[in-house]
Amino acid sequence: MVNSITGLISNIQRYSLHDGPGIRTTVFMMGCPLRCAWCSNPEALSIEKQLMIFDQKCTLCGECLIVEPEAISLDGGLRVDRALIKDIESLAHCCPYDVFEIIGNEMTVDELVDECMKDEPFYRNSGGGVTFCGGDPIVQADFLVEVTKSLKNRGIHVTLDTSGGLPWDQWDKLASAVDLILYDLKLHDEKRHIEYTQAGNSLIFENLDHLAKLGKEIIVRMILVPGVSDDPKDIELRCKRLRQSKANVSLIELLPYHTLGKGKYTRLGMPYPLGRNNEKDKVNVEEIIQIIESIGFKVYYRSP
Amino acid sequence: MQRNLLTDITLNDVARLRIDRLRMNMLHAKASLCSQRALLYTESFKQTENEPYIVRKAKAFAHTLDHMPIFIEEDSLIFGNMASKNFAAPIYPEYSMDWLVDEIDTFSLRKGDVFEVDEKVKADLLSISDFWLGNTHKDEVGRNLTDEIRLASKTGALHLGGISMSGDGHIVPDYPSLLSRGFRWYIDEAKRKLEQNFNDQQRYFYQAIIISLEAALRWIKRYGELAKQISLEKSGQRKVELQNMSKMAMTLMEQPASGFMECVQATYLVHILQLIESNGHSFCFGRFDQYAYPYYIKDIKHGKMNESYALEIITHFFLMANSTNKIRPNGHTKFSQGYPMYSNLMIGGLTPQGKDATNSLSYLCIDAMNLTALKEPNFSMRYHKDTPLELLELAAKLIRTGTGMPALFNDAVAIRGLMDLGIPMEDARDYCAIGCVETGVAGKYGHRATGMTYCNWGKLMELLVNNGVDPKTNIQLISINGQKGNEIAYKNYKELWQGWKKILKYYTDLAVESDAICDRSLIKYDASPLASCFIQDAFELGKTLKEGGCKYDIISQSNIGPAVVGNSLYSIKKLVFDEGKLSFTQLKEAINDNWQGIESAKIHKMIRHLPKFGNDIDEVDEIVAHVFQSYLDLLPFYKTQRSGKGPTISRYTMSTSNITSYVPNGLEVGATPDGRFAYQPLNEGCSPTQGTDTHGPTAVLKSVSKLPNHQVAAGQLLNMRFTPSSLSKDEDLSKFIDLLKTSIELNIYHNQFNIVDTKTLREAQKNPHLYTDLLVRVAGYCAQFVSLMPEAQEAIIARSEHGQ
Repeated sequence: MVNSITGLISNIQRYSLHDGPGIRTTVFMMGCPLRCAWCSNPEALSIEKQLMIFDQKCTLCGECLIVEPEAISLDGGLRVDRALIKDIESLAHCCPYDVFEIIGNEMTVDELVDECMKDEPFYRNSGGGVTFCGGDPIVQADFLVEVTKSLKNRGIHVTLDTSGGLPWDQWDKLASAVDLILYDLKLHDEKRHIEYTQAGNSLIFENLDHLAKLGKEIIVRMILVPGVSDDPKDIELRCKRLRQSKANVSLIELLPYHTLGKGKYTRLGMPYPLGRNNEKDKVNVEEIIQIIESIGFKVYYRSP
Repeated sequence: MQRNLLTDITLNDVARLRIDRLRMNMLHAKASLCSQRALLYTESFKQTENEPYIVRKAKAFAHTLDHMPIFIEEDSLIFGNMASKNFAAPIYPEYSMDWLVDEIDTFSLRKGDVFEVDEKVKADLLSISDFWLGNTHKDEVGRNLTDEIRLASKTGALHLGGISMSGDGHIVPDYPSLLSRGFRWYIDEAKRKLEQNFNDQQRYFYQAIIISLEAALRWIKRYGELAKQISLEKSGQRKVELQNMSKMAMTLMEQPASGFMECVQATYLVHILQLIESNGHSFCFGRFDQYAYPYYIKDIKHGKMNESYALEIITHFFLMANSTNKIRPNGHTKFSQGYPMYSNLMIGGLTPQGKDATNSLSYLCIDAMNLTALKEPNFSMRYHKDTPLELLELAAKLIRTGTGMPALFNDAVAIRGLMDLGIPMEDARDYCAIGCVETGVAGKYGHRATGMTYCNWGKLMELLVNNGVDPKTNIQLISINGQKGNEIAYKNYKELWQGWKKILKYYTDLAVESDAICDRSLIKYDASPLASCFIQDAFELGKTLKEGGCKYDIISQSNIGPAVVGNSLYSIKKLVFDEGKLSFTQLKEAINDNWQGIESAKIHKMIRHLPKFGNDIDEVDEIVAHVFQSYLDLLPFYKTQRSGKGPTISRYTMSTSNITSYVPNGLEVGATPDGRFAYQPLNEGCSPTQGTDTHGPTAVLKSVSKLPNHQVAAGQLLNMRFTPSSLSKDEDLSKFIDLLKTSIELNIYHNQFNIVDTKTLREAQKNPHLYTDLLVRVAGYCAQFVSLMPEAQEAIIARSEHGQ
């Protein structure tokens, strides 16, 4: 039987090295319950297809004026009023120079599984597998449960990289099906969590308790955004809460903040939410590592 | 800056400092010309006018060895120079002279591969040119070339390469035998042969061997005298070294090599002697860790030497290999840029009995290469499923330093390929690289594992689209539909494919014919008694290699652009025949327009969005595989010049080793149906076309795994690029090793890796379409550099700099 459920995928990255053990294929799923100010994949936030505009490729040939006369002006360079675009797909189709690119590829379960299976020899030799990330894959949990079942039947290790920001009953089956969970803990202070992710964190911590009951192996990830999420006190509280949950945490990974995704905001017509460029501000990694270790967790800092 | 050792061996400061000095000497030596050999050869040739050519060559060789200036490099434990200065290129007037005269004022003005020429050298060369002009190998080839071959060269479809004007090279002496015998053994045996019943030609060969090797022994003794003299002015450690060097040189190769130092010294000297005898390139060292090991382990066991000293000797040997140089005409230089000598040295792999051959020298060689990090020797490693992880790790660490070495060869594929040619298993297991990725059996292969005539498949694709007419010159040597002119209408893919096969066969026939023309001339002009007598069974048969003296005579041409051809055929198949989205005429117009006008750009977009080789997409990968097969199918019908004259196997095979020819070949070719713009490079080796592989390294490996790799038995070239930061952490390195292990399983013949620097990243920003295979570590994963936004690119460039 052909499995007709489809998922919306922003990108598939083969030879991924840092999203779980071994050589992996990382599947970037679209849709996310959070809006983190430092997000480096803004194209995957929405569950809708997105339009990226590469204006440097524009030759002002005028082909797009035929399909989108209202939305586009070429006087003094390419100007696009996104609100007036009637159909992003036909716009992307009309441009000979690929100025307009659609993000979001609909794939069936079988198509995605086939794509993931292409690197099976590499997974086998490296202890690798497939990682779902995004966005947040739990937004498309039903689709991924099917994909995971199929991958597991083929002996593939599956990792879920999630913010945990949706009610447990929406993704419990997915959590049960995968082998490993990468779980983001961004801030303990709920006010600040709302300020920086536009969502509260109580659900995220509650879901930790569910995961603990499941006994599933978890690698907790904390991104160190200078002045935002690198406060040692907050990290200490996160770790203590983590301890309290009795979740099966094998490692805490500290990830440095980077601005590599900044350009994508421009191409998507979105403002970059973190106003100040605090990328270069110093983070006291040593102290943070000490705190985490003192609470009894193994910690790894993935230096840039 | 000193490089850290990769093994746990230690070198004291004195040893480190002099390696650094020697290294800087080699690194900063300016390429120049040396007229000594040319003058001495001329002098000798003038006195031997009526003698057999091979004897004349031997006498000129001997005259040169007796009179050429020799020197011993300050600091070096290894001696032997091919010219009057380091990195000076000797001249070989017997092979070709005209281009030297024509280009002599421009060598110093080249954009790359510049050579300094002083006035004295200029005058020397001009003074002898009259004697040689008209009497060289190149002249002989020129007299025999057919009009068809000339016209094919004019269109850029064929390139006659080194064999039309140089010696052949591409050879690995039987080092185990020659080290265990010494030169004297060959001289004595040759004298015995002269007492037996051989014909004149064979007697000349034996005479030439005696003349050449006697001279070689005298030449080595000259170094002995020189070392003694220099030692008088020195004190301390260097004095003792020079005294030992002198003592060794006075008897070296009069008898078998007696220890590791003699083994390495003799290996290097044979290399230099070959380079003085003939101006081919790719004179290689073969499986050095195998044949040098008995000498090494004996000295270690007897306490004559420790590992550190062995490492020092190997490092000096590797450094000295960089003192050699070769000049080529400007047109030929474009095909092989960067002063290459291609002196391959190989480690690792299986023994002839099928066991893992790794030994302590394998590890020492990696560290010696790490210490030298220069272009010679061209360092390669064989590996297989039982290669120790430690060796793979050490190799990966060396690759990570950015040397691009070692190149890695997959035993399973290479051995199977050689056995399919008829080579017995034990010999096949003893293969090594000869030059770049060409493989053969050391001491048993004659000249030229590959690189006979070059055939530009990009041009053949252009001819296919134009009914055999070359758009640049309007030359039409063959018509596909039987009509003159470039009009052609293919009705279906089958017709197109038949057209390809017709064009390919026509030009391959021509290339084989031009191979034969060059080969026949080389029988005389490249008669090399020294190189020949160290290859089985030349000595027994009494024949030079070119006469048929070698055991295995397996040669190949160089075909450039299979991915361009495969992607092009696929584009036409898909858009014109399968989907009917455009007519062949529309496509042709867009090609002629180089995709510039708006309608052409729309067609270009359609092609851009089609699958391309290198992304693990079966339907296009299969067509590239068919393209390989179309050439392989032709090969059994071609014969070499030596077929039936001595070798136990004589035949053609295939190689995608094509050095830098994909760049100048691209310059000859207009836009192609794969979306490639006019005059852009063709794809390199069996690697995907630059700019078309967008799915990362595993996808590239998977695509290449679908090619008939083992049938490309003279070597399949795959080049992959990674950034230093994608390998800098040990956890990433171990995943890189997993990638290599998977390559074994995927039937990948050969991998080589470029670990690139900021300069290249900047270039990639300027010309992104040429760099899509460039991988960088972004955050948690590796991505194509050019797929990143400019800001992200800047951030990564900044990060790489931090690491330096």
